Parts: sequence; structure tokens; C-alpha cells
Amino acid sequence: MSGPARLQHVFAALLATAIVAPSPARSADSALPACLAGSPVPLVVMIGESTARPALLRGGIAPALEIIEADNSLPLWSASMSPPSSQQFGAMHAQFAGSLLPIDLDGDGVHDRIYAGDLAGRLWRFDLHHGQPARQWATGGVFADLSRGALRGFIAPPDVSLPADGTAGPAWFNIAIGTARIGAAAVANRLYVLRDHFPFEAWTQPRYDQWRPLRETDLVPLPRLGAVLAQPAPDGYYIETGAADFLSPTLTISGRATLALAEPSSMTGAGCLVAAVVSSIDLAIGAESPAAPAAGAGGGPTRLAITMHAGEPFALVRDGSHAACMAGDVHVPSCDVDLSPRRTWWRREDAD
Amino acid sequence: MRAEARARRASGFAVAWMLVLVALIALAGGAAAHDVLFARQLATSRAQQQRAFALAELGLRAGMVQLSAAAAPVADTGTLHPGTARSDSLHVTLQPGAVRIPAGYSAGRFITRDYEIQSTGASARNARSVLVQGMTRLEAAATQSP
Repeated sequence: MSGPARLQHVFAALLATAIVAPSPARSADSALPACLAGSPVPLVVMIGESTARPALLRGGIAPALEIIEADNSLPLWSASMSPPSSQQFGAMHAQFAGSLLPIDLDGDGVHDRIYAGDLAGRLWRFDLHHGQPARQWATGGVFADLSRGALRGFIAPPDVSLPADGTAGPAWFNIAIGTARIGAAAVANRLYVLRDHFPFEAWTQPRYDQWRPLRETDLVPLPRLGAVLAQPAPDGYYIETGAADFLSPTLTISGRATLALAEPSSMTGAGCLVAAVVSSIDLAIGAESPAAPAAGAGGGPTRLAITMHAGEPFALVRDGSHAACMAGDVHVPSCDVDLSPRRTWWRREDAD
Repeated sequence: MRAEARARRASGFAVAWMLVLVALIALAGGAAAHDVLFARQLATSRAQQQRAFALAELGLRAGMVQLSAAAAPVADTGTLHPGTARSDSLHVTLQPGAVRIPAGYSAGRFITRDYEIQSTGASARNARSVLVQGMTRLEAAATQSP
């Protein structure tokens, strides 16, 4: 089977399983190639007990979301539209693939929040209530409904970050998440940069039920990668990125998100190798910045053309107090990280 | 007869004056010696205190180097004896502190962790200096592996 034909087959399978009502016997792994289904995400939870437990979060069809024990794969919690899951959410009619991000908000080692994107193009937000039984453990709902009927959904995990400038006012989360086609036909994909103005606030279920999900009409559109925000975007913005898919999560370093735009027709072989273009944007204004140093003086933004495994995140290879950012075997300087410790305060205890 | 007695009185007065003078000179000498001794002790003590301070600073640097090199340092403590003098030592304690989400970096992939490095330098004559340095560092979140 040729690359495009194989891809068409893959996405046809996706389409068949993503939007329709769930079938209890199927899991995500049966519908998606491994590289697009995503790996289970490690997290630490306290479900129905007061001790923290390592676990794995995975998406699927029925249940749509599931948490299992890391050691023995015993189910701890699940969520779907209808029983027999631990919790039911009426709008959870679409499958989740690998677009899952648990976050430890308070640094206590236990995860407090999950952002998850489904294949219908909706971003979910869940608050996790430690120690509660499985049937009450999570409160959540659709945070942003960005589907608009187009056959595009979320395969890559969201990338959540606080603003880089450390604004004095109330903080928010920038949530960068890109879409991928869910079907054979090409779609106009987008990179969304949404703003969650309640980053550290745990919502009750009634609060979630009252929340009106963000839609594209709430966001400022940018017509192409490289365009810059010309007006305030209190709820966020989105960039129209064309037919290329977001299969890997963006990585935000110093307020700049490095992203990989995958060309789906180039996908070959069982290894899911795909041609991609790496770029970098300033999350505050959407401006594109060089992914690699420009050749010659006065060069514009430089994009890197690479080949990578679909769904593979940017890897950081630590060398002393510096971490080199890699996409496959290619070094991407725009997401290199300085891990050097910085001095904050000093005192002398033996002084009078 | 009267002249002889007057000469004897004058001679006794001179002896007394000489004795007073000698006593004064002895006192001044003693005071000077005491000053010198005291100043020497002070200088030595100050030198030892400075030595302890320098050792404490060395300990801070050692802690910072350890923090720079390790991927995810845990609480650590240790004593070193730099140099040849057995009385010189430094004791360093590296203590991880609060963790939070770093501004401008992907949550879930990075954390910011605070550290406290306490360094105690010790030298002769019980000279001791304690310095504490607060540090912060960007690290990979536990579930990720840069």
C-alpha cells in the first residue's frame, strides 16, 4: 500500500471510530496506528485513598478516558458518555487519542488537572479531587469547542504554559494545541492558542456545567503562520496552518512555542515516519521566530525541514546545565533550554 | 650640718623619682606589650574568621557546581577538608524546596524547583561562618526525561 493510500486508510478508520457513538468492546488501540493513538501518560493520583499512586492515563472509545495502575494495569477510574464507567459526562461522545496532558498545579507531586483534546476538535478540562472516590474524583467539561463540523480533531497533546513575562496581574494558562485531519480529505488545520484565565482554580461540576465553551468566534484569527496579532486576544487566537497536521505537541521555552507541522501524505512505513516543518512562534503575539539561526545577516524566520516519527515529541538531551532540543535526529536550536541554577537570595547566619 | 642634711634629702628625692619613672616605664611597656598581644590575638582571630568565611563560600560554590551538574539532585550533605590544615573544614547541605510551574515553559515537561544551600566553614580557634544561598532551577518534570 502506498503512503497516501495507507494514510487514507488510516484516517478513514479514524473517521469511522471517532465521531460515532462508542462501542464498548473497542479501544483506541484497535482504531489508530500506535504512533497516532498516543502512549499512556504517566501521572500520580489519589483516588479513593489518601496515598498517592503512580498511574497511567489513556484515551480510547469506551471508556473515552481511563486511568489504570502503573504497576498492574488495574482500572482506577474511567469516564465516558454512559455507564459502566466511573463517571459520565454527557458530551463525551468522541474518542480521545494521545491528546492528554496531566498537570501538577501545586508541586506536591500529585496531578491536579487534565487537559485533553478529543477527535471531534474539543478541548476538555478536568479538575481532580484527591482522595475522593472514583465516582466523584473528577469534575470537568468541554473548555473549548472548536470543531465547527470540520473533520479535524486533536491528536497531539496540548501544551500548557504560564505567560513568559510574569505579568503582575492575574495569570492565565496559554494552551497551544494543533489539529490534525480526521478523515481522508484535506482540511484547513489550525494551531489554537487558548487562554484559561482560571489556571489554579478547581471548578465544581455545576461551574463546569455553566461554562460556555470557547469557540472560534471568541478567538482572533491569524491567516497564516508568521502573521502577528494586531489586536488584543483575551480568549486567545488561532493560526490557519493549511493542510499540514499537528501530530506532535508543541514545546514552549521562554514563551516561544516550537511546533512541527507534519505533511500527512509523506507518511511511510510502519514506523510512521513523516516529513515535517519545524517553526517557532511567540505565544504572546503569534509572531514567528527562527527555529534555527538564520543564514547570513538579516535573514528572516528560518524553518527546518525534517523527518520525524509521527506523534514524537521534541526531546531534550541534557548535557550539564544545557539541554539540546531534538526532533528525531535533528537539532532544533529554538527550543534549547538553559537549565543553569540561578541565585535568588543570600544570608549570613553567623553575623550579629 | 644643715647643708649635709639638705644634700641627703635631695639624694633620697631623686631615688624616689627614679623609682617612679622606672615604674611608669614598666607600666607603659606592659601596656604596649598587652596591646601588641591583644592586637595579635585579634588579627589571628580575624584571619581565622576570614578563613572560615572563605571556606563557607567555597562550600556554596561546591553546592552550586553540584546543583549545575546533577539532573535531579536530592537532599545531600557532606563535609570536606580542603587544604592541609586539619582544622579547616566545610560542611555543605543541599536542600530541595518548593516546586512550581515555571512561567513561559511547558507545564508537565518542566518544573521550577527552589533550593537552599547551607555552607558552614570552620577554621582554627573555633572560627565558624555560616552562609545560606537560595537558588532556583528549571528542571524536567518527573514523568519526562530531558
